Amino acid sequence: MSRTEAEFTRPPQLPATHFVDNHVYYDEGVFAEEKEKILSKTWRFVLHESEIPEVYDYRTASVADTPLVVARGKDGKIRSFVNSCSHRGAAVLRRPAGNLRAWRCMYHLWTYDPTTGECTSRPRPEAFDAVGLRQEACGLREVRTELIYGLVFVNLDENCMPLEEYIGDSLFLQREMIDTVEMEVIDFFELNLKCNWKNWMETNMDLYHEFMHVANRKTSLQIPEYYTRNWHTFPNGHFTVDRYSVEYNKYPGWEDREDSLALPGMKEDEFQITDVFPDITFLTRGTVVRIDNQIPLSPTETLVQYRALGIKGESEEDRMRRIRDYHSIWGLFGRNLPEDCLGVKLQGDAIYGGQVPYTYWCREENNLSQDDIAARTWWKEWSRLMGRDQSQPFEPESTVAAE
Amino acid sequence: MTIDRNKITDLIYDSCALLDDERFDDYIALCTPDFTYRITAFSEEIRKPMEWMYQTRENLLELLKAVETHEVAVAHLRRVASMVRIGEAQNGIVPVRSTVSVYHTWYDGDTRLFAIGTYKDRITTDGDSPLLASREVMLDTRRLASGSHIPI
Ligand code: FES
Ligand SMILES: [Fe+2]
Repeated sequence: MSRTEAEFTRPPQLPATHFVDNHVYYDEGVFAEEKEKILSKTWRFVLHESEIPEVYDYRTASVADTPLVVARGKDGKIRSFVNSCSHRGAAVLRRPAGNLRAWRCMYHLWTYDPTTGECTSRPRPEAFDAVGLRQEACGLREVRTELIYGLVFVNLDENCMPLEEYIGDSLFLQREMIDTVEMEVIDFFELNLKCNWKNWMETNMDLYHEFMHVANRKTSLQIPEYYTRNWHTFPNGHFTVDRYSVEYNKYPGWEDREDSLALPGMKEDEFQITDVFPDITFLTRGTVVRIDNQIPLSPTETLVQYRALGIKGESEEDRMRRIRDYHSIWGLFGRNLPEDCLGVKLQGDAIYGGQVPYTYWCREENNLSQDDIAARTWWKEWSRLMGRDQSQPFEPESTVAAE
Repeated sequence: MTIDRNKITDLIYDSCALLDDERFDDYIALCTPDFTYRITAFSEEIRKPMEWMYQTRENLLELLKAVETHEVAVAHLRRVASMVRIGEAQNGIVPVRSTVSVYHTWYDGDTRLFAIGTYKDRITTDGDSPLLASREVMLDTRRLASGSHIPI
């Protein structure tokens, strides 16, 4: 039976943790508050240390609308600064990556030291000195930067907890494969998706959606062990799910993966996902690690960055096979990623107009694979930080936040 | 040997139009038996060349045939090859470069640029009609609005 207007618009008869008021996906006020309370207060992944291996290497990033440059100083340490000239605000570095011993703003030629962020020269400085704006006070703003397992994170909140405490044990199933041998980024691309950043994040924590993927229907969803894996949840909104083995040769044109390419601690056909709040997902398919992170641009537009990790120093042949494994499913022209793009696009098309009130995260299956416990864990942390329940974001009292 | 330039530009036209029309068998018929297909790009971010797809003729056909089983994310792509530069033949292979722009039209008729790059082709002219011995699609675009099951 179809639903009437009253049935459609009333809150679902479910626990408050089990559904979402769709305003949280498109409301401008909610988005502004997320930037203030979540995106600029939590640890945000910006790059893998292999992206800036040499002294003076730098890489730009964007966190909660703040333009950043992450650089390896002459002492080998990685630091981050706001990538905006202290004079009239121009971005100091305009390429996404490079190697420079000094950073010179192109506008009026102020220069900065990549190790310390200090301002090192200003043409005709007397006129600044005359009004008391001394060079020592013109350094770039430094941003807290910490590493774990080669992953570089920043936090715009100087008073945040240490990164290690934030991550806790959540990477226990990923650690061996990314921290045993030296890894490096072997592929990078971005998607500019017309979706709310949380919709992309949800795709990465919703295993029930895997029915959409023809490749998964052929290689995974016929396997009993697929359904009997457990989710593990961690403080601060992170979670991970146990592994299973994929039958790659069941998809036309695919072969089984090469066991010699398996990453440490993984079998070549195993699959593993870990989500780190708020926007990071580690996905491993035996031979290659994928890392998604997000740059929300507006409530309904998101830049998602995709990195693949391989083993540093491996043979050219192994490298190419690893890259081909990665792209066969997760590439722009792979089997699954286009379908994930379509899923979030169609959600946006229907929901962001504001006339579809609620959606569900209500599956209960003893915390097994297709239980929605992962999404509920994520939303619980979102609600705690926002002081609003995702199911009734405009109610004055948050029940989740009060817990 | 004189190269029939019209036949070569016709081949490039057909390679675009047949993929646009999703006539995959006819597209593959434009390729030599040992045809290879690649999509590449240079990453300014990780400062490395990247390979986003590599297929032999046989594997590419298999993937293209499987497209109809998938939920395709792009409703219709139109590949526009222009700026065709035909090089000197060497050992029966003619190197040809062209600029390719790919436009995406959604079901409602809205059209956006999907990607732009270069077709770097190697073309054989032994038989009656020239054939693609290899194609490398070198993309300028590295930030896309969607993935696609059908390559470019
Ligand atoms: S804005 Fe950078 S020197 Fe003036
Ligand atoms: Fe997916």
